[in-house]
Amino acid sequence: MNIAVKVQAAETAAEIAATPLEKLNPAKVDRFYNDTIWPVFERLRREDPVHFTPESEYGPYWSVTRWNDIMAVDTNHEAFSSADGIGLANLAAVAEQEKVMGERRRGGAGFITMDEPEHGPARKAVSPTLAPGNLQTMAPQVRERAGEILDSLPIGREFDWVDLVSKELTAMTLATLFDFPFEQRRKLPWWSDMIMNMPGHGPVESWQQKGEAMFECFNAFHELWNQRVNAEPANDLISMLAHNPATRDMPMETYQGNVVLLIVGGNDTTRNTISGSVYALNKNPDQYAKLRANPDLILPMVSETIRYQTPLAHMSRVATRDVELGGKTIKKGERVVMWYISGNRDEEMVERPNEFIIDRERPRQHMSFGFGIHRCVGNRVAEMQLTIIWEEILKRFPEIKVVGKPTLNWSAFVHGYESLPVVIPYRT
Amino acid sequence: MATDPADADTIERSLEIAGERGGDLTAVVYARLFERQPQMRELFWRDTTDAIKGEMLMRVFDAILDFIRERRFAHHLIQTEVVTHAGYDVPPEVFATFFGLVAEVVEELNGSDWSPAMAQAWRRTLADLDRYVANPDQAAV
Repeated sequence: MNIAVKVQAAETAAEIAATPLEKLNPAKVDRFYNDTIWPVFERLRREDPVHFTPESEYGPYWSVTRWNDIMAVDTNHEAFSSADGIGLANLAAVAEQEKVMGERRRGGAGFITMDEPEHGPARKAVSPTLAPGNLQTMAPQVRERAGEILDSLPIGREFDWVDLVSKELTAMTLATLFDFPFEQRRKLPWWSDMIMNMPGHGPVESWQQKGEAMFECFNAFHELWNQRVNAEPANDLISMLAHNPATRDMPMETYQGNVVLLIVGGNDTTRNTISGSVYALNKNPDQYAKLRANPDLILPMVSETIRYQTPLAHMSRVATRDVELGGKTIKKGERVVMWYISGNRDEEMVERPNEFIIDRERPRQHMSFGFGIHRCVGNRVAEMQLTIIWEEILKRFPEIKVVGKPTLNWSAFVHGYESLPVVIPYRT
Repeated sequence: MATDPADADTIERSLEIAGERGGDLTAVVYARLFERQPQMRELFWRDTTDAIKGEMLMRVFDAILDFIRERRFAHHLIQTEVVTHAGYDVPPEVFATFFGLVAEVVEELNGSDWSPAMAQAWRRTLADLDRYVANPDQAAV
């Protein structure tokens, strides 16, 4: 039983229950930061599953909170477009960013923000690298590197799991997928953090610094593009984009959008699930004991963590026409947010959804990767990394002990951890 | 075009009988898939416990049940799965065989309880499903 969530939920439940529905803004970031979001989504699923927030820091938007309604939106790309961005954007932050960056970056331009028919061929240009066949080739290298990371960890001394393990493993894997200079791999999670955070959060100190980091990132990837486009086709993501007929002539803005997508998508989601698994197992020692006793439970534990953590809390779309959903009319042009984090706790679809249970009957029944044409293209890479790291952890350490409160992200989009203090005890 | 409620009842009944007699159908369905499409086997190299195959089959059953009733998402899901499976090197023509293969296994498990009404209901529903498999363009269907 997750005690922390229950206590916090009880503390805020009265406040949430007293808020008029039309004033309820489920994307209020401080609730994500303080882990007090759960009563909001429980109330919406119960009382107003397709909910309209008329005014917010993101402008007006619809929230879809039940599993089947989310499925209906996510699979209907004809009625719900991704072209104007897939996350809720804070309007003040967008305006500030535009001032510094000198251009409109809302939505980006990678294949995740494309609709059909442009989307399919662009996605297909990268999907072979991330498909099961190629992962089989990559797996031994990921395992070797995971082992190196774990063997370098301090024993008996507190350290930040996010920094030394979660970021490092995803940086190594991403560097391999991009064939990015390995000694510079930590730039990848750093760029991801710079892209996803606002000043005052994560490593971002100012809009200027953020702009410079993005400029540095795009320059580095332009260099990679130029190297790969002039070389023989290879099996890395940049070479595939540079040589595939569907993407080789894409505008530079589209390439940049794809870079952002692959860095952020490959980074934040996996690393926050790695951190989330350590935290959830510590909060649920009976489940940790089950896992230690039976390593065959690693695979279902990974899936359960992906559901329980939901590393990307939402995705959003814009209605291309008037659509009826759950008895409400969503008008053409209105923004719709699919709260995966709520769908994953839908009591009608998942038994005891607020509990972390690693041997569920249907452990893979979650919507964290989304559904439809934009379903996470890297989902198998994520699962492979998580499975391998836990196989290697259990070979080495009987326990990873969380010794302090984690710091959560300041975000209603990336649902994860800034830091997680742990100790690996000496073996007695 | 919605499924006839009588067909939906009949299909549900055949699935109930198959479930009662076959239990978890994952092994039998995928054994048949790999027998006919051996190239599909290597896509599941990580799935040593059948968990991935099992969940995929459950989603197929969930989709069939939604498709024959409210059709809240199943028709669109099927169209998008054609697209995403193509990204995993599963050609549409292979994807298209899967619903038929499931129907075959359901028929066999029903044995002597398999009725002409069941055969007709499945035939009509498979044809309707095929319409979406063959036409993943949502703007067109």
